[in-house]
Amino acid sequence: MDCTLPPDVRKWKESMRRFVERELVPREHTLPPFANTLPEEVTAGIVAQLKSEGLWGLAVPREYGGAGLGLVALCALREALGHTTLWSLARLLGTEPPILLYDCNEDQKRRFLLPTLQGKRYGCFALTEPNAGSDAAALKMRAEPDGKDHFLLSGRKIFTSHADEADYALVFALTPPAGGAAREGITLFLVETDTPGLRILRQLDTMGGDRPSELLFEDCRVPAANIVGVPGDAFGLAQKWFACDRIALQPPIAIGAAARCLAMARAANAAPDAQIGQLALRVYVAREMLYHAAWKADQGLDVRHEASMVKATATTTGLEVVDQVLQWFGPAGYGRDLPFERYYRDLRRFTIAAGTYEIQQFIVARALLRGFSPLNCFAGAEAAAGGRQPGPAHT
Amino acid sequence: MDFTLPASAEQLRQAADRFVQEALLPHEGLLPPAEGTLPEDVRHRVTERRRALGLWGLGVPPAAGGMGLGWMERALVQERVQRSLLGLWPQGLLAAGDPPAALHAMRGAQREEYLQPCLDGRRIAHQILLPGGARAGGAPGLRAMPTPEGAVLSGTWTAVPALCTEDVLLVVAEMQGRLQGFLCDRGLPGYRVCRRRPGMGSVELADLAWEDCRLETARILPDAGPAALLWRAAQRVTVFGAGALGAAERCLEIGLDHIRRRQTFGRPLADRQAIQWMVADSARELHGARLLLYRAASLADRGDRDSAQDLAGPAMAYAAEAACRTVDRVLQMHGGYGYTRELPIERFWRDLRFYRVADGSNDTLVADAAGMLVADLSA
Repeated sequence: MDCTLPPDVRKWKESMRRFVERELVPREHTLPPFANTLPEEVTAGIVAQLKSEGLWGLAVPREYGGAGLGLVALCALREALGHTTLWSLARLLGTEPPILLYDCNEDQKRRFLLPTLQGKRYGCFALTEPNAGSDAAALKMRAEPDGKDHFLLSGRKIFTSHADEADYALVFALTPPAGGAAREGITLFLVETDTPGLRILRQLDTMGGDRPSELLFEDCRVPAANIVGVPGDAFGLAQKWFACDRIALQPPIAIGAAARCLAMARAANAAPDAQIGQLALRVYVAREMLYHAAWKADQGLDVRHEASMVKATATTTGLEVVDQVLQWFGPAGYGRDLPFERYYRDLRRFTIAAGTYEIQQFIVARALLRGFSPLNCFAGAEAAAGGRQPGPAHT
Repeated sequence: MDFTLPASAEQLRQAADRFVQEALLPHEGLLPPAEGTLPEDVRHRVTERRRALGLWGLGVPPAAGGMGLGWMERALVQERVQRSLLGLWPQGLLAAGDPPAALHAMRGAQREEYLQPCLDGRRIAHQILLPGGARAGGAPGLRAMPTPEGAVLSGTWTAVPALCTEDVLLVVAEMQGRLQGFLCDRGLPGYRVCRRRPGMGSVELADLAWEDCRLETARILPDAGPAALLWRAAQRVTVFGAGALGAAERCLEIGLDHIRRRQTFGRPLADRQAIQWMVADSARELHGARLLLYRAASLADRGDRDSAQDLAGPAMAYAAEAACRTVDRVLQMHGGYGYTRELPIERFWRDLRFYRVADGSNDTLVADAAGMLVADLSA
């Protein structure tokens, strides 16, 4: 057993940490308090510099021109990125295409995946609806066949991050077979955001930098050629996205942010080591859980339960640490001169988005009640037990 | 990076499980209800059974006649064995055949007097390291002064687990600026247990006194420091850390079994979210504890002893606390039954509580590790 990062990943992570200290931290004060965008030319300059230092596209598979370092590497880079409040700038690492795009057919890869990897196009992810969030099986958006080659999409999506900047959206809609269960009839469509019948109803202002959108689809006509995978079979895709996202999206940022806040607290002698140590230990544990899950995902193993454990642990711990460090710094911690208040506002979203904390707890508890031992989280043990049974069909 | 368990894991687990099934669980009912341990004849039989199953000399290198298991393997054994109340450290049933590392290099007469009898199961050796406990104990402490014949010890030490004094106690203390080992046999003139303090569980504590206690050079291990520190770190990860984890896992399984069957208002407790969250919290904390312990263990097994020693204290602290929280939640799931002595849960609750103050209190260990943890997280 070796729980340490591979040497090449460690090297890239150190490079990213240096880049963050040198290029991003000095720019933090220019980030508008309630947005996560900088002027277009500034962001483009940062991306160009990341590319020139080889830090762009590291986790993108080799066949698409990336370094193919996998989820462990992506988590390491994002952990390093968490050391700045500019982590939330979109498109920084060249890894943003939702992993579901790798399930596209060749024609779709040409139209969507490749331009996204090149930074020319940008996609957003539209699953959540006004009345269906974590319970994706309760989706209401419908897609009715329109002639042989098209579907008409009708319904609403909400809390779609970056929809205002996106060129296309990944939209989950119902194409129910007669008599089938709801989750058997979920189809994933790639929808150009300029398609007639699709519009942004509003952007929701939040307490953090994210400004997600509510989307309205009214007989929005989408070609059948834009269906990803098998029609009616997208529930598994959504689960796959959830598992990877719950590992790599928020936990590494929460851990990096918490680590930075604790380092600042210790440097400033803001609290006794007994208190700093207790929090640092919990962040440390969350980080062990993160890389274990990422490694398992890279081995092609089922990580749904680990993903929920990682997300619930890392996001709550990160938020608690940021809150506590803010408190230790008193009024200064509450002010904008220090990064804590920004982290606090941005991290507050992590226990809600991409599956609430409560949903993760529910998933973990149900897994145990159905007989999955935490021991089975280990390769070797799993093989001896004859492999894991397929889990419940639920996000 | 590779989280695969060692190839020996399955075999070790099977042997440990067999020991638990055949020798420990059937005797749990013989445990005195409030505190204390098994009758001597039963202890002897249990120890012989363990030896027959090959779980003997786990941490002793093959050159000295043991199994020479790595930390990871020892952790896996402890995880399984401490699923039984009788496998818990306070029962002292696993110390036989596994003397501290500072004894492993003994030669000649010293080997004949200490190491060999320990390996044969005729004697039992325990180790206490004084500097680490000094902050917690607040006792005046022990002074070791060199003499032409060896050394003289004088002073007191409070709240040492009494089971450590059953035979030979290796006291590791500073003399002439370095850590040295002093072999204090039971009955050694000038060395005695001056007071016994019962505890809330199976652990009884003892105050020790040394009054002009003279030790000849044959009872001194001048280079004991590094081996003693490494042994302590290994014990923290395997015996206290992984052991607490295994105990908590058994309790969680008992809890899961109970909440699936127990009905309230026509539905099983398992359907109640308040109960489900106890399960989820426990699972996450035990999973995290396991990963932290395995990290420390695998670091040691791969030769990075410094990092392993640094991580051993906080890893033990996290695991012991996660285990105590888990057992407490399981007790709560059972309501009044969990509080009674009819179920093993309350005994686990009382005995595991000691793991958080054993070998330096958790708070001290974590505070001492704060700098390392923060620096490591910032890398």
